[in-house]
Amino acid sequence: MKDDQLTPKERFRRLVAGEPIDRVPVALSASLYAAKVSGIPFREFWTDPDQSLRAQEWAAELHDWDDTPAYSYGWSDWAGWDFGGEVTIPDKDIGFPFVSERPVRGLSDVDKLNVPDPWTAPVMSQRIRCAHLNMESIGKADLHFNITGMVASLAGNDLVLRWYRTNPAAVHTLYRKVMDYALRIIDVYVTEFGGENISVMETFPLDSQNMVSPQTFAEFGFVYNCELNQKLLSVGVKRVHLHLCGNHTASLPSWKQMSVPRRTVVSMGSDMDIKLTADFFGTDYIICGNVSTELLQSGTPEAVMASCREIILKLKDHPGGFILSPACSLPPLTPPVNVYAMLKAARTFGRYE
Amino acid sequence: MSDQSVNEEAILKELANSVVSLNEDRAASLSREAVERGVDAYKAISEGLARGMETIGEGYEKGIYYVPDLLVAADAMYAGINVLRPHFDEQRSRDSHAGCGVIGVIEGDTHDIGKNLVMIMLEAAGFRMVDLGRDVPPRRFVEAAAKEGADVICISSLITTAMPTMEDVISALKTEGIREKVKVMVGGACVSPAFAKKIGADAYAHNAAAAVRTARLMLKNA
Repeated sequence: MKDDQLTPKERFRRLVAGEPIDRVPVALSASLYAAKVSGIPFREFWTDPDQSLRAQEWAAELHDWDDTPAYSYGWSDWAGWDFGGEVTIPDKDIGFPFVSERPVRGLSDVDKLNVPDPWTAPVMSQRIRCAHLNMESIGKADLHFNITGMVASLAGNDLVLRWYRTNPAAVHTLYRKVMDYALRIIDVYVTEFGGENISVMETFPLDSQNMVSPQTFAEFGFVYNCELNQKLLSVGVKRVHLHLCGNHTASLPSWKQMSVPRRTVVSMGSDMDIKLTADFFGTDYIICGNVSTELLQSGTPEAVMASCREIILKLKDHPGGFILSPACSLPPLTPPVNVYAMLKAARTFGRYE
Repeated sequence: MSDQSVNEEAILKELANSVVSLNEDRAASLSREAVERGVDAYKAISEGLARGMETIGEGYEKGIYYVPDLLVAADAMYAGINVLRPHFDEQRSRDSHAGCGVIGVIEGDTHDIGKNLVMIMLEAAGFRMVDLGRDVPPRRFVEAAAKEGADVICISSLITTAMPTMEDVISALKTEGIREKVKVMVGGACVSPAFAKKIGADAYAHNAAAAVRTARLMLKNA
């Protein structure tokens, strides 16, 4: 079965370069899954970068998937901690940290917010450490941005979503503070690692039409993410991955206007029509997705293979290139045989002549 | 139609409009005016404020309104309800309820936007809702349902890791011997009709507006 002709690293290099590859690559974003199969408690995964990275490396070797271990210290609701709030890291078997005391609880807190120093902030300081570990291990430093998510982490989803309508100026102020922090973070990474060695993943769940209108996205999330990507381009970042969580179909034209490097990866969840989106983005983008995470967690390996086959046959010949991946991060409760089924599907249906 | 009826109809319409226009202050001041003019408080809610929320809900399903609009409209609705509540008969209110629901985000998950939207829309539709919050252990759903005499339990989860725990709510209902007395509706980004069926839930709703239709249908067929 495993008669691949290229190593994962070589496969990805060729894919990005637009050169022929042996089969459709498989990328799993399997951080928590790695913790689960390694027997590492989630709390330790969140708080011990060394353990976290080792878990991801072992899981990658177990399954021989194509993506490399990413940053290990991160979850969606983190920025509020860095800006002075408090976080709860659950002790449960499976649990995600979350900001339990927001630094912004009302309008009067907005202007008082101070932009943190990445070197001393609780999350970013650990992420910088993880990035050093990644750099030593695989020669790249990972960064993850979810700009609107960071804004929501400061004040909570409920307040920010309301303020879009009732106090848009306050939301712009929050975005500005988040952006100033993001720019500081980028400067630190460029100094530490060099722009060409930075790999950036950007996610946008709160910018989808499941949450806000295309107009709201255009006025807020789009503007600031354009600024982010312009900065990334200006410092020489060449590897960007945009993950479109939720339905972004109505705002696709905006996405195409965002300045990102050629061969940027665009992945998406189950809410998007992957073929339509791939055709829209065209040849300069690598498309990635979008096996249902519910299927991966609860379905049979046969059903996983069937779904992967359908996706692969639709996308394997996308001119920009295609990567098979889950619709979101690989659920930690995914049965290992379903992970194997994804890889088997890529090797069975995704071969290139 | 008498002048009083015309006036009442106009106030009810304006109450609805205050919600649709996301105007919290106007909803509160109109509610005070309704009280002063002797409009039945419960009617002012059910045929005024809640109608406005229903319009917003319909628009949300059509992609005209989005989550920010629902939340701010709900704030307007509740601002009016808070003015009117002291003026209506609680017992009559209970007797007039479309049903009683217990709602929460399942243990292991803290994403609650969807749950909050469903609760708002069910309350606007006349359901008495008991909000258990987020990261709710299965037993709490069952205990609350038993205590409140709930007709429906609504369970939400955004993440796959928490989904299996939803089934524990249904198991706990069976253990307590009250499974047949309460309907279970599930929803959330990763949840599907197939999953709902697999765990033995009675229904799945893909958004807040659908949750209202589903709840009404479930109780009608009960």
